[in-house]
Amino acid sequence: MRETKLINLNRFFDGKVLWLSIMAIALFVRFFYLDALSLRLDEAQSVWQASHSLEFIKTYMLKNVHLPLHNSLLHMWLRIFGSSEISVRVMSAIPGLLTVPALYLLSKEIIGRKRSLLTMLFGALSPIWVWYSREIRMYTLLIFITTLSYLFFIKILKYNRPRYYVWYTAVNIIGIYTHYFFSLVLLVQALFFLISFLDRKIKWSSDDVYDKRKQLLGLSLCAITVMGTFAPWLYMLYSSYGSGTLAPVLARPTTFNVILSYFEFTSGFLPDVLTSLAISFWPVIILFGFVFLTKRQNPFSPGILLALMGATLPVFIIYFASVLIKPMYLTRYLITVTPMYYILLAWYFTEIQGKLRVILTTIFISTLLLSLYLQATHPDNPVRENYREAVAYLNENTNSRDIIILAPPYTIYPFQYYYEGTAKVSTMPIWDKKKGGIPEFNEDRMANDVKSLQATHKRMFLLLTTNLENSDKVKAYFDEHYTKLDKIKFSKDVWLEVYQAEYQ
Amino acid sequence: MNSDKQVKTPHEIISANIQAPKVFLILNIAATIFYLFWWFDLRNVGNPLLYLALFIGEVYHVWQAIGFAITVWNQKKTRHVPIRRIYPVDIFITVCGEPVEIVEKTVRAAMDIEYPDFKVYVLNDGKGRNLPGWREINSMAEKYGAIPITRENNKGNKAGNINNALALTYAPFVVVFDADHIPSPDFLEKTMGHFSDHEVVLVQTPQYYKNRNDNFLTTAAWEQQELFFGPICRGKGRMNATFWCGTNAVVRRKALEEIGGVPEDNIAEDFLASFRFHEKGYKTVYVAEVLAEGLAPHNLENYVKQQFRWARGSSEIILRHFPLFNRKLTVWQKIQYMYSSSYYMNGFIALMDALVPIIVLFTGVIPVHDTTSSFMLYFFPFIFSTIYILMLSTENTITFRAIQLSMSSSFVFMQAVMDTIRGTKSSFKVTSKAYEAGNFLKYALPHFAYMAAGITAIIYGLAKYGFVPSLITNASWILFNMAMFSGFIRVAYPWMALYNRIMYVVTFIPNKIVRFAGSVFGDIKPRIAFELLSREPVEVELPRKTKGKKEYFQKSQ
Repeated sequence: MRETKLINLNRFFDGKVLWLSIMAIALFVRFFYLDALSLRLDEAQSVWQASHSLEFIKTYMLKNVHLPLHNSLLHMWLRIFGSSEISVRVMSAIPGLLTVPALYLLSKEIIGRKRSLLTMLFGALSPIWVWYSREIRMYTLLIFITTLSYLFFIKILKYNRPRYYVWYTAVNIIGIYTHYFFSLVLLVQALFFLISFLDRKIKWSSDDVYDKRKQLLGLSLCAITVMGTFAPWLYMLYSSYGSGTLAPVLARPTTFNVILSYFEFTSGFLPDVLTSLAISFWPVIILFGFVFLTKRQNPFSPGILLALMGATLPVFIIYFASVLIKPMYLTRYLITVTPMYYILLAWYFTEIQGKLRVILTTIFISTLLLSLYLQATHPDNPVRENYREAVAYLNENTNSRDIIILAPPYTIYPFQYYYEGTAKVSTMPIWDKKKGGIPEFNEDRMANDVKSLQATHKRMFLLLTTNLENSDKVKAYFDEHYTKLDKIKFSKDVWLEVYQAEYQ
Repeated sequence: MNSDKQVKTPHEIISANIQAPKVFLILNIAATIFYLFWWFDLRNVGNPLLYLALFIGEVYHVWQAIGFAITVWNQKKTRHVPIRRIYPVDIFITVCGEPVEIVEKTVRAAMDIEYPDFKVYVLNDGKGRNLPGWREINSMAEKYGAIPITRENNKGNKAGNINNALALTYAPFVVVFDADHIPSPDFLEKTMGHFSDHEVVLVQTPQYYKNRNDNFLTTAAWEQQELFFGPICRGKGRMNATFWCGTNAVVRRKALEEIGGVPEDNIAEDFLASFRFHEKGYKTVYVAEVLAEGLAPHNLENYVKQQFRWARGSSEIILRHFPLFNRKLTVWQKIQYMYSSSYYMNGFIALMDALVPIIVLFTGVIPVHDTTSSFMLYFFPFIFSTIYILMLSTENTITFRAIQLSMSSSFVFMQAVMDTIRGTKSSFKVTSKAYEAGNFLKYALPHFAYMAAGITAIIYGLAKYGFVPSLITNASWILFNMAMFSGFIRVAYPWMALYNRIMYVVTFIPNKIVRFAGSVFGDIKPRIAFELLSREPVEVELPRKTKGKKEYFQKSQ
């Protein structure tokens, strides 16, 4: 009787039931209450861009740091499903959900079927994956395509079937039009192939007999096809060079950014206080390194080498490029490392022996769950931008005698998405979208702009996004020159400051 | 790189023909030097005193890491040298109170060695110490055709015992086996060939612990041996820096006579003898093949004795014989003597490192000024590449418990070094081979003290500073050190037996009720939790003073 129960329990943990349970969890955390949070600035920008013609999207993206595929797909999606928060976010949640089984398949090729259920669980509960699955941006598509690219790359190396070359080429074409940093995935694969080409000891199994030269030829053909498909875009980029740029100005990263990135890949976006507390546990990582020395078997394999390269190289390449050449470091751009990173984590936990494996894995999964909960609910989540409530407040509490001023100017996108009020709206500095780009910020211009906006209005509602450029200067100017009537916080960085415009 | 899930036997591990790729060794050395740069950047100095303590510790760790990388740089493949000429050999089995049944196995195996010209001598030091059973040892030796040599006194301990035998015997080569090291029949066939080179005076083979699976201690002790007799000794062999490890070795008598016999003034006579051989320009050879099987210290007391002896001998070499400034040694020999001897300085370093977070929490002084992320950038490549090199060079056989036990031995090492500095005379204590379990908590007292101090510091820090990042980082370091020091605590007492006894007492009445209910109402299956609670104690021996007798618990059914 008891044995039968144990067998059933084993079946549960080994088999399809567990697989389906993880998928159900992944589905739930991605789709449940999808419009719980307001659209963020970046999301609103994507929706705004996608609501224009395909030609506009192309032209806009030529001046941007992103590629046109995602917003072109969103353009079509909007035409079919509309632009409600839930509708647009479903387009991200779908690849977000599909990445979980794709990660399972990739992990299976590297660490085997049973351990891959753990990788799959990590993917399903990954706070950062869940966050981007609930945000209409290209990042879930990028992760999904990255996972598939690694999957077909490994299948080529292991099984060398023609159909895998075809799939590999197809996903890479999608990837290369999804994000510029997808090229780092291809770079990692090229480097890995080069190493395995030179070092004959790197074998996927004892029957790994495929001719590496033939594989090189096949992969070269894939590369030529991908590059050929990308060449028109590069040509257009070259032709439009000098016609202005909409690229964000990024700060030069420090080593802390690297640490923070891996923390966010693990625990998502938590309040700053919790993040710094969690990072302070770093000596425990050293202890984990020593604990790992318990296996007495070779825990390494070619797949682990590839996973190690995939989980680290892009971050360090971009970090050093940002320090030495030009800042381009943003955690979300580097999210392509996460599939391999989760495989490495699952590998680490499953290589530990005895009870310690169960204890550490349970602690880690509990941490993921807690992070997921805090990320979704904590008001001080650093990436939460509650424009919806801020604008709802403005809709209700402003009238035609008031003026709403947004700083910085490009926060107009989420504002417009929600605004239905009667008050006049402007930005600081004043930006007329029809006339071109945002004017350069300076103190004199601000003084003039504020004066012109103040005229004939009773109150000035300053909607500030405090972590963005120059908003601190705008706030300081208003604080110095006008009487503050009210101050409301909607999320960590979205503040509304109300000033008296009359009788100043 | 091919994933190899085949578990290797201990013999295969010792004789493995492995080589950590040089590219990784270079990267490891580069990462180590890169890490050292951080410590030389004086902008990072916080409290000068604590910084200095950490600085010394890290320079030591860097030295040990680079020393290891140099040692395993080129792993010499064991080469079998066939015997060209048969020399007579005297086999010495040193005995000092070991049980007759253990010595008997060694004597029998020694008599069975396949070699045309050898004699077996049992150097029985039991008489001088009036140890029980010394007469039986002699009778047993004679029964097998071995020759017992007994002294009236114990002058010079093991070294004196061997010197005494050297004076009474004549063969140009002597083999020394500890009483519990059972040689294989091909011992001389695999070793004697190397002496066709007249400059070779010592051929050392590994010390293998056949009782390695007995308990946590024997397993960890063997895993330490795997590291030493594996990559480290193979590396030393390449540099002509192999030293005599006291047993399982063949020594040229002439060389021993040249250095005045086995040194009796050092507790690690074998180590010092090797030092003298190298000073005279002789060669020593390491044969990385298990040719004798011995016993690991079976309990903490014996392990402590063994480690103390090794630490004392090694620290005497470094503090009294200054290998670094000895012009008679080659550069590689100097490095190897410094590397091996300085290993035992780890006692001070580990304690210093362990105390810093406690001091920080109690005093609030900050030893270093830098961001965590900046330090991690320097530290992580160093520590993880070092761990990886350890894995590569040992074919993944190095374990956490082996490192844990080494770290736990810090207090023993420290005591040994302090004794050397003070010049305290240490008596030679034979490592007992008897299978005794028991209460050795006295050896874990410093470890308990550290844990108490650590927990107090964390509570104090929490009360004073609150739950802040600096508290967490220091608490994490304390946790790290506690985990490392817990090795001794684990083996100091049969905790499982204590647990079982407590559970037995706690569940005695409920257990009786369930059984009674079962007998009245038929085959009632108790709940799983209840079954677990009512488990009876297992076979672990637990010392308990009950009218002077030890109490044993029966094996559960």
